[in-house]
Amino acid sequence: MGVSELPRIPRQAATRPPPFDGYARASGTARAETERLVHVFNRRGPEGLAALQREAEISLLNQGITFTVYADERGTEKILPFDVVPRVISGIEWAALESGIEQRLRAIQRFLADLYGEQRILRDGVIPSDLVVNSPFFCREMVGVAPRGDVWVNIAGVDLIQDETGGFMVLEDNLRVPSGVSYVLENRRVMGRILPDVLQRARVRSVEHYPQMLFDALRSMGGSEDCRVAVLTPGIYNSAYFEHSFLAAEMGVDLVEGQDLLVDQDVLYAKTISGLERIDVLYRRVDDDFLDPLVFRSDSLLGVPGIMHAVRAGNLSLANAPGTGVVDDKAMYAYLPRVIEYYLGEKPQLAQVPTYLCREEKSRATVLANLGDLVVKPTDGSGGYGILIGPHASDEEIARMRADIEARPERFVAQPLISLSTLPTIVSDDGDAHLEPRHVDLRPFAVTGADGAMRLLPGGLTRVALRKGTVVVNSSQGGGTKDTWVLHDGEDFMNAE
Amino acid sequence: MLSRIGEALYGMGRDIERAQNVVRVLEVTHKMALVRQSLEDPLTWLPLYSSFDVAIDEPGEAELYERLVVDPQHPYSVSRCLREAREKGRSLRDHISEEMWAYLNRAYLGLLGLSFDAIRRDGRSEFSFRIETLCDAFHGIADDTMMHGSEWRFLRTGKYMERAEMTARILHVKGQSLAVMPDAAGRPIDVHQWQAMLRSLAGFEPYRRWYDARILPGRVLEFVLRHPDFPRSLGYCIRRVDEHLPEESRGPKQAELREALGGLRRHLDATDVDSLIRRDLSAYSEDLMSRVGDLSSALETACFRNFYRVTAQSMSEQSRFPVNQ
Repeated sequence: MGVSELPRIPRQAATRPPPFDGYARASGTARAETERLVHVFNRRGPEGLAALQREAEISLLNQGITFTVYADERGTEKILPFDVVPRVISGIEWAALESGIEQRLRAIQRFLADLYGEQRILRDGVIPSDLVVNSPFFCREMVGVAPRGDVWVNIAGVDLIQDETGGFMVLEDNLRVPSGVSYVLENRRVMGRILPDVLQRARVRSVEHYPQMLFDALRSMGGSEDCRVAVLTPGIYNSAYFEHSFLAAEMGVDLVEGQDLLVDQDVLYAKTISGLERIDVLYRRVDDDFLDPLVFRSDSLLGVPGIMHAVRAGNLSLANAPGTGVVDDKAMYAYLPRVIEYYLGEKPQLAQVPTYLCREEKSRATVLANLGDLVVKPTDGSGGYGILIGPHASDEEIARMRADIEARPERFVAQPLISLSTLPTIVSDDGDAHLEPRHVDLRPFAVTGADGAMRLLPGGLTRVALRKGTVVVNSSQGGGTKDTWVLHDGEDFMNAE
Repeated sequence: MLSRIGEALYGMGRDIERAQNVVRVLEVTHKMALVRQSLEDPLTWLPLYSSFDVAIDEPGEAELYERLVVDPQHPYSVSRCLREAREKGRSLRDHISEEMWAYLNRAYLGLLGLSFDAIRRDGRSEFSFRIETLCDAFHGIADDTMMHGSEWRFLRTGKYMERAEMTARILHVKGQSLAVMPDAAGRPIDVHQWQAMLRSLAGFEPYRRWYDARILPGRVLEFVLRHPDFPRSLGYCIRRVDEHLPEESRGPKQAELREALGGLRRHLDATDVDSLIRRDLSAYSEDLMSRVGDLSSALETACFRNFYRVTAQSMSEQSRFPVNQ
């Protein structure tokens, strides 16, 4: 999967309250909704758990649910580690999340339409203009363009975490090309194979309709029943290629590469054995920068020359629209609660990690006075570079960061350390297995078509840091995934037993 | 179907067919050299150099195996062909059967680290048998596990197009032999070479059954150029190419393709095999190779590049970008 998109999460400070656990209360007893599930796993015993885990892995390998390990001349393919103990979310909990994400995305669509249109929010001084115009993700070529229905974000993969009280918070919005949904579907299929009876008794909401949901949304962006949709992939060597080909196959559309396409008279065509065939909607899994060598990076071989002209002429819908990354910025994140209030006149329903903007004088003073307790991140950074984790930093590192912030305050934001919630996870030693808590996050997927109505897939990718004590859920650093079970509204978990 | 997908399937059919032919030619030449006790004689190997585009450095068996089997880059190298086929297979997994991919992947992994020393140690015949059956098995798996739609048809088209080129090429090897030994005609070595050519096309046994044990050059030429039932005769291969080309790919360039197919067929029909053996076979086979090459270019253009190229400035006023604000 798109490893580069996974967020870095601050490590846990020793002095904080214990993390929230999805199965066990602080007292050590199981939560009501997971009590029977705990029983199911405990009953299997150490050997049973190990066997279950092996069965899941073999199932994934046989299905070819793998990602390729680069530079391996034997072409070895590995599975993304999968843990069979699911995350369980009650219907009520989910409804609240769904409503919060819907609100957030509704505001974000309006925000993007405004930024590439009248820019009212900048003129009203709610957001500093330089944050937008100097952002590397602001796409000038989209100024004055209105995607169908003014829907800019068709697919969002909002990253959520749970704080020490179990409350969900948004960590990142992932509005560019979020990946991981294929694992949501495949993980569920594996669970259906190895624990069919448990899955059925638990009354878990289905995720199987995602490709249909996605296809409907994409087709609506083309404006007619018979419009043609395709998925654009950077190619077979991309780490998320499995997902690209999976989604294209499940939707029954062509999986295309840049070399398969050309633009003539502002219309995008696929080169087929019967000649050129027009494409109306492109679900592109290629970053903005690589889309059009005429406009963005001229050395890109992944894109299609002239594709941005097709977009501007209204002959092509890209999902997501180019330029949505401007809202994904770490500094912009801090403004999101104000953005929601500005456009909707509503208080944000979903919490997010409190973020101090060093560019604002008052916040800066707070940050500088508490550097030892905060996590400081550069706004333009990614992959964890240049991050200072206060409680773990040396005096020297803190002094250096202080100087950096004072020199260029607009480059930094700061957040308190959040202790990621945990879920019981199978840990093997010498063929036996038992359950231990491991840190997790959650990425649900929201799809929006031209009618502007968001549909949230009831489920999501639960990523788990498999190594003890770590909070890195990144698949290249020992991260794995779990199935996420959203229960039918009002159902008592496994009541039918 | 995307042109890229069609072309990859066609290319995969060609890769597998090519690997099999190259291996067979090498093995037959080796056996012939043993019989003639001329294993070290460069003359035995020289005709292969020009026919398979190998630059002569140290003429001999080792160099040919090095280039045509082990070399990761040479266009006729068995390693390259199988690696390419497997790479294509990987990107074609939604278009071929799971059985084909699994087989191809295993076959490829089993061939990693190939060397001439290892082939010599384990036996050339063993190696040749292994690769030949691998290629046959692949096509068999394809025939029995794939839908026989456009995907399968392109795979087939590639197989027969490559085979047609290979038959012309193998004929050229004999043409080259005659060219370097012009006085050999009619002597035992000549007969021996005709026989080797038939073997290189897996056609010695079929030939004997169709005619008899006597190797007569006119008959051999008739057999490999025109026999309607010999699966490696040029006439047979071209008919198969024509039959397997998917209907939907016969777009704007179909007239040119049809002309190329018809032209080659007429050329074969008009060839006077009896006079050919008295004339310059090398020149004929060279011309034949380029005719088959032209057909394959016409086919590839018609099927995979049948869209016009966008050259002129093709953007409208409407789509122009705004001036920086």
